[in-house]
Amino acid sequence: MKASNEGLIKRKILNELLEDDEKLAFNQLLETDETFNQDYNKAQSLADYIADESLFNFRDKLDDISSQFRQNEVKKRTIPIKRMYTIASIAASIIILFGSYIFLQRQQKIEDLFQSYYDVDEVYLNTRSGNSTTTDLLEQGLMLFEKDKYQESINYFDQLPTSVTALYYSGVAHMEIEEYEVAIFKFDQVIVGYLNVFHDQAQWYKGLCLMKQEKLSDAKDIFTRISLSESYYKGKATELTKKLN
Amino acid sequence: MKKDKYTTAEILDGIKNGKDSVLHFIYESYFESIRNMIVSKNGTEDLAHDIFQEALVVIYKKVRSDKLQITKSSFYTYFYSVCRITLFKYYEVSSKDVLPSSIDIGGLYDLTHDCQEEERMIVDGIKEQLFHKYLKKLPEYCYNILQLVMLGMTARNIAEKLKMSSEGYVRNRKKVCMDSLINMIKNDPKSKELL
Repeated sequence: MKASNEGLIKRKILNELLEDDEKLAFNQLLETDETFNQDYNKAQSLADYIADESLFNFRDKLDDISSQFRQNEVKKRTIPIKRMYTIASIAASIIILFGSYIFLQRQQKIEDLFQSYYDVDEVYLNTRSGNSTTTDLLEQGLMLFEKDKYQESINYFDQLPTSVTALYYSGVAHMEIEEYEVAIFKFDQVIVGYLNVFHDQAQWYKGLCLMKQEKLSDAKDIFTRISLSESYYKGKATELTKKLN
Repeated sequence: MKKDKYTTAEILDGIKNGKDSVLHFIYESYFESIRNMIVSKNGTEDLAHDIFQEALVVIYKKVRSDKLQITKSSFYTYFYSVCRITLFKYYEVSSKDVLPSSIDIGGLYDLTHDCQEEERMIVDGIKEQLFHKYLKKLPEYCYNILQLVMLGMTARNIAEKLKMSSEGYVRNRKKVCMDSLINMIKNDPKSKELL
C-alpha cells in the first residue's frame, strides 16, 4: 500500500481535519480501491476497540482472573499425599455406591428410563436476538412450540428447511407427538453439522428416540459415543448407557 | 459475596457488570470441561484459556446490548456451544492445517447461519485480542490520548483533561502513539493471519 494512502487512513482515524482535496481523494479511494477500503476498515476496527473502554476493561479483568485461576490450578496440583489417600477412599466409596445404584436401576423399564431422561422443558435453548420480529417464521414456530402446540409449530419450522434451529425444534416437536422416525430424520440433519449450538442436544434426543423405538443397540451406540465425547450430555449418556446394559 | 451456585440470570448479569465473583465462579465451574473439549480437538492449555476468554467476551457483548436471552436452558449449554464455535473460528483464521482431520469442516458453515452474530463477534474478538495485547504495551498516557481521540475529543480538551502542557503536545503524541501501536501490531506474526 502507498505510504500516502496509509497516512491518509491514519489521519482520518485520528480525527484530523482533512483538506477538501484530501476528503475527495479519501472518498474516491474508499469506493474504487478495494485494498484501501479493507485497510481503512481494519484501522477503523482498531479505532473502535480503542474507543470501547468498557470492553477494554472487561478484557483486562478476564486477563487477571485467568491468571489467578492458572496460579490456583498449579497450587491444587500439589495436594499432600495424605489428602490424596482420603480422596481415593471417598472416590472408592462413590464408585461402590454408584455401582449399587446401577444394579438397582437395571430392571427399570425402557419407558421409565425415557421418562426420567426426557424433559421438554430442558429442550429449550434460547439464542434468539432481541431484535427478532414477531413476523419471523422461526419466531412464530417457537412461540407455538412454547405453548405446546407442536403440530402447528412444525408447519412453521418446515418452511425453514435449512435452518438448524428450525430443524432442531421440529425434531423435538415430532418427538412430542410421538413421531420418532421423523424426529430422527430432523435430528440427523442437525447432527451433521458439528459447529452449531444444537449438535449435542440433537444427538442426545436422537438417542432417546431410538430408545423409545426399542432400537436399544442403536441407542446404546449413540449414548456410548456421547459418553466418550465432551458433549453437554456426557454425564447423562454415561448413566443411561450403564442402565441400558 | 462468594456463592456456590448462580442462576443463569445472575451469571448474565454478573458478566454484564464484570462482577469478579461471578467471573471466578464461571472459571471454577466450567473451565475444566471446556479445556477437555479443546484438548480433545488438538488444542493446547493456552488455547483453552484464549477460547474460554473469547467466548466470555462474545457473551459480554451480547448481554450488554441486551441481545441475549437464555430462558429455559442452562448458561453452560450456551457457553459450551459458543466455546466450540470459537475454537473452530480460531482454527479457521489461523491455519486450516491444524484442524483435526477427524472432523468434517466442509459445509459446516452453511448450517451455522443461526449463529452468524456469534461468529462475527468471535472473528472481531480474535482481532481485538491482538489489539488489546499491544494497547497494554503502550504507556498509559498514550492509551488515554488515543482513547479520547477516538471518542471525538479535541486536542485542546484532551490537553485539559489529561493535564498536558499544550494542544500541540497532544497532536504530536497521538501520532507517535498510533504509529507505535500500528508498528507493534504489524510486527506480530499473527497479524498476517488476522488482519
